[in-house]
Amino acid sequence: MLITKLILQMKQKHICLFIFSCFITWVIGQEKKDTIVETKEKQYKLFIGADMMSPLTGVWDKANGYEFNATMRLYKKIHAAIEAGYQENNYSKVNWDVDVEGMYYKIGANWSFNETDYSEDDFFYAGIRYAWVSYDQQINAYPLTIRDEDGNLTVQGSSTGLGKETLSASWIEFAIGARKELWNTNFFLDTSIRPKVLISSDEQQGVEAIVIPGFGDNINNVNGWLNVSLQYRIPVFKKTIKQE
Amino acid sequence: MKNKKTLPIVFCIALSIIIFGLQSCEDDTEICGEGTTPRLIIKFYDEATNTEISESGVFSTTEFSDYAFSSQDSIFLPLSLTNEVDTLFYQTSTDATVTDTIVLTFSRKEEYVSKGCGFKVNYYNINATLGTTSETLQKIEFNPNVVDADNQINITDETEAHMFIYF
Repeated sequence: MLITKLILQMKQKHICLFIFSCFITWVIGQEKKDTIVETKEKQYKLFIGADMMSPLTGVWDKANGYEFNATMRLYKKIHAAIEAGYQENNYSKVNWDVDVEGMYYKIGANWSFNETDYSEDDFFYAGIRYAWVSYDQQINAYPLTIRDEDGNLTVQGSSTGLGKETLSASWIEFAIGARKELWNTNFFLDTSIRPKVLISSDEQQGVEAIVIPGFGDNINNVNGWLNVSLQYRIPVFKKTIKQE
Repeated sequence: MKNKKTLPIVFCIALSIIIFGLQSCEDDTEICGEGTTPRLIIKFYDEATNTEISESGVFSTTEFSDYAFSSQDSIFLPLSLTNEVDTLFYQTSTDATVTDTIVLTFSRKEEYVSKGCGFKVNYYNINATLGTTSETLQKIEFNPNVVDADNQINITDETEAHMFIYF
């Protein structure tokens, strides 16, 4: 694709400007429909998908798992969304060795905008999710920080761990993304950035949550990641709508 | 307008590039700042005049050996991370023949600090005994400010001197 090549060639600071201008072009380019053909029936369509990033991160990172999602347009621009996944992860920086694994669930909604004239299922969207997880955490080793008589800092690894405990956490996840039909099929590509803000987490023997399945590393209670989801469209049921 | 159909894809690719760029950012919570294992802070006093003085000498313990200091009014000594007993050996210089000893006994407890620091070790219920054969060191005392309500001496931070040594 020519456009893809173009982006990769451009320097990073120009990318934002490019996206912004594309977006403006997109908005201006929207033509008002002259005549609206009212259909008597409204098609409810369920989109089920799998996140491709979740298993892929295992290639270069210790995070490994899977995530499935389902969305459905319920009312005008509002789409209900649920996501469920499993992730095992490990944190091993600064002499820590923390293993976590657990199932996480997200429930929320997307608000779609800029649907294409071509299809009402292609759009940009903004969404919000409430996510929660119950997970097992095993602290195999933890750091112990000491200073010597000259003030030099040394971080030692502990010889024993703190054992295993079941903990829970919850967070709010935002989604800003786009969905696009792939080559006139029922398959769709859905990509979104996911800023996450931790709202609750447990401590294991005083140790705050360092890494959480589905959330990732806890960096000052925020994190973010990318969802690249392959979705399939299933027509579910039709509902008759009164013509105005 | 063919471009409009491909725009969501372009948007997706652009997002990916931005996210991968952000991933390379440093995590400052991995850096340990304050809150390390407290060291025993010793302040020097002159017994005759009961005033603060600067001293020189060499301290050794089981944790380190031959820590030489000169003209300092206070020193910071790391205590044992593994034993309940720690002996401080003091000499006026490395080739001095006389060694004064201070035997410290305490209990230890680890406390979580932060992701970057991990844990620190706090020392509780400290007792100190100056060796009877000591020549240079005349007297040891604990700072009244570090004695808690139960009349115990605990070392949990490095905000002020814990022990006064009189020369």
